[in-house]
Amino acid sequence: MRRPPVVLGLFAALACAPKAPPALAPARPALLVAALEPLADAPPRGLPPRAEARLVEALRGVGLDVAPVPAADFGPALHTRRTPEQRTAWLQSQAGDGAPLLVVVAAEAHFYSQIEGRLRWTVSVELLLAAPSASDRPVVHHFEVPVFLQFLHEKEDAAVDAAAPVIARQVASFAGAWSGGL
Amino acid sequence: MSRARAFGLPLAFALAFAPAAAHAGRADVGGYFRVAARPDLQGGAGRLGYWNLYGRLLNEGPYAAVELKYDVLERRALSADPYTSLHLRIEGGSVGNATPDNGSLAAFRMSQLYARAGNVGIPHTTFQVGTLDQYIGELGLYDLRPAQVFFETVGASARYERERVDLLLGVGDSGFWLKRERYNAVWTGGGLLRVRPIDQLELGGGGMIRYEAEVRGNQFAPHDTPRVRMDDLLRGEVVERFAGENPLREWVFPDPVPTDARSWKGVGYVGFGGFGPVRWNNFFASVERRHPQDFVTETFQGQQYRIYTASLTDERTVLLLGDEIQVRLWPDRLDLVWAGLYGRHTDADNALAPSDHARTYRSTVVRLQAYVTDTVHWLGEGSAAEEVSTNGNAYRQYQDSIFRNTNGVPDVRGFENGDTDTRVTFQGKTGVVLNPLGPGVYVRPSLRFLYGVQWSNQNNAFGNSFVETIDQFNAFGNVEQRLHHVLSLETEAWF
Repeated sequence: MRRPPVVLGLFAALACAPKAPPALAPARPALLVAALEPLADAPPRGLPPRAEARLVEALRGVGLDVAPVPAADFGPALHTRRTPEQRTAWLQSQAGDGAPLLVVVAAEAHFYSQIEGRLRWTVSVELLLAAPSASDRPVVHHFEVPVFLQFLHEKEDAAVDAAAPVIARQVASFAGAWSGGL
Repeated sequence: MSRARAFGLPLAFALAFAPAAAHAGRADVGGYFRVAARPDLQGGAGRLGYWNLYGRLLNEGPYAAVELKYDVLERRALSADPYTSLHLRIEGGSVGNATPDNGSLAAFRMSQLYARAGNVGIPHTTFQVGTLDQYIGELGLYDLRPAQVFFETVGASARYERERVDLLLGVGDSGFWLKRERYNAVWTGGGLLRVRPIDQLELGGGGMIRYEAEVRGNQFAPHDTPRVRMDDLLRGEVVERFAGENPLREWVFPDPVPTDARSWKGVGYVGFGGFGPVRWNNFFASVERRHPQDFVTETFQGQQYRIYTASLTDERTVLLLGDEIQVRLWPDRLDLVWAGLYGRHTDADNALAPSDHARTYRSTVVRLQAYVTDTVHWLGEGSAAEEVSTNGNAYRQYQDSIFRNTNGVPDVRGFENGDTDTRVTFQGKTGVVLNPLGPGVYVRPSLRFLYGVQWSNQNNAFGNSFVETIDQFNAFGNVEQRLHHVLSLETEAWF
C-alpha cells in the first residue's frame, strides 16, 4: 500500500510551501478616530499629538493607511454616542458611499494611586474596527495599559502619552490581523 | 472569501482575546519591586554604602509592594457619576535569596487600606477614609518625599481637584504609627495645596499638626519624670543617681507627671519646567518638629523603672531642602538628572551626645543616561556627601579609633563615638541598563548590570559583619579600608 506515504508527503510539501502574502487593506485610507475620553461630562478630545502620531505610524507599519479625523469633527458626536454600534453607524454615515475601513481608538485614563513615589494610572482603551458596509457588526477589542507618572500635574494626557507605545503596538497588531482577513 | 467568513474570523479573534471592559466589581493589581544580587569581595552586606544620601542606586535593598484596587463603582468616562474604589497595599523588604530573612512574610505589612469615593455630594471632590498617606512628588534619585503628609495617619480626607488647583484636607489619628503598642490617640489635622498658575510653574505647600492630649491615669499618655538630667538619661543612670542622692528613700522614685505633647510639619514645593531642555525641576522644603517620645526603661538593683521623657524629647526638629532637575541634554540620546539635598536635625534638649537628632548633611547626586539604542542604555552616576555630627565624634576613621579620640584621650565616660564628627563619602556607579519600554531615566522596568565604587573617610562604611573590637582576644582581627567595590545585577519595576 503506497498511498499513505504519498498523502503524507503531499501534506508535508503543502505545510512547507510559502504562504500567500496577507491580503492588503483597501487602497482608500481608513478613517481613524483617536479619542481621549475625559472623566467628566464633556466631549471626547483628540489623543495627544505624539500618541496619535505613534498610532498612525504603527498602523501604517502593518499596511493600514489611515486618515485621522479631526477631534472637532468627532467630539460632540461621540459624546452622545457611547456604544460601538452607535459610533460605527455615525462614522459610516459620515464616510458616505464607498466608505473605507473605520478605526476608532477611544482611550480613558484613570488615576490608581501613589505607589513608591510614582503615580499609577490605568489607561483603558477600546478599539473598534468596522467594515465599510453598514450591515456588518463592528469588532471591539478592550485592553488596559498601566503607566507610572512622576508629577501630580501630569494628568490624563500624560498618562495616554506614556501608554502610547503599548497602545500603538496593541492596536496595530490587532488591526493588522483583522484587516489581513478582509 | 465571503464577507461573513472574513468577519467571522476577526470577530472570533477579538472575542477570544478581549478582556472585559471596565465594570463595577473589577479588581486590579499594581505595585513595585526591586531585587538585586550585589556580591563583593570585601565583606559587605549587599549595598554600596549606608543609605540613600549617596543616591538610592546601589544603596537600597530589595523591596516589594503590591496594591489591590477593587472598583465598587468604576469611574466612567464622559460622565460625572459617583465612583468608589477600595485599596489595600502590602509591602516589605524581604525577598527569597536576596535578603537575610529570605522572603519571610513577617517582614511585610499592610501599609495602606482605604476607600475612595468621588463625585459624591461635592463635584470634583474625592473622599478617602482609611490610611491617608499623600505627597507632592519626590526626589527620585534619593527616593525621598519631603512634601509628604499623613504618612502615619489613619482618618478621613477630602481632595478637591481641578486642572490647576488641588486642595487636600485631612484629619485623623497617628497614634498607632507613632506609639505602636504604647498606643495613645494622637490627633492629626492638616492639608496640602497645589496650584499651577501657568503650565511651566507650580507651587505647593501645606502641613499638619499632631496633638496628644494629657490623659491622667493612662500609662501610655505623655508624662514627665521630674528632675531628670539629660546626661543621666543618655547614660541610663537616672535611677542610679536618684538612689545615690536619696540613699534612704530609693524606693520612692518620683511619680510621672502627666502632660500633653505636640508636633507639627510644614512643607513647601516649587516646580517648574517644560521649556528648553528642562523637563521639570522639583524643589521641596520641609520642617518638622518630631513627636516626643514616651519613656525609656532602666533596670536598677533588679527592678525596672520607667523614665518618662516627653519634655526631654520635644525639641527635635528636622529641616530638609531638596532639589532635582531633569534635563534632556540630547533628545532621545542623553538625559541628565541632578539632585541636591540638605538636612539639618537639631535637638535642643541634647547638646551632649551625638545622635541622629543632632546632625547636618549635604549631598549631591548626578545621573547621566545615554541611549545607545531605544532599549539598551548606558548609565553613569556620581555622588558626593558630607555628614557632620553636631555633638561631637560619631564616626570611626580608624580601627583603633578609641586611641584617637578628642585630644588623643579615650572618652570612656563621655558620649563620643569614634574619632571624627564628619563623614565624607564619594560614590561612582556605571553600567548597562536594558529598558524594554524605551528611553528615559525613570522608565521602568529596568534590568541593570552595574559596578559601583565608594570612598569614605569612615572605616568600612557599609553594612558588614566585621568584628570591630580591638580587644587582644579578637580572633578575627581588624580591617581598615576606605574603598568599597560592588557588582550589581538588579531589576526595578512598577506594574
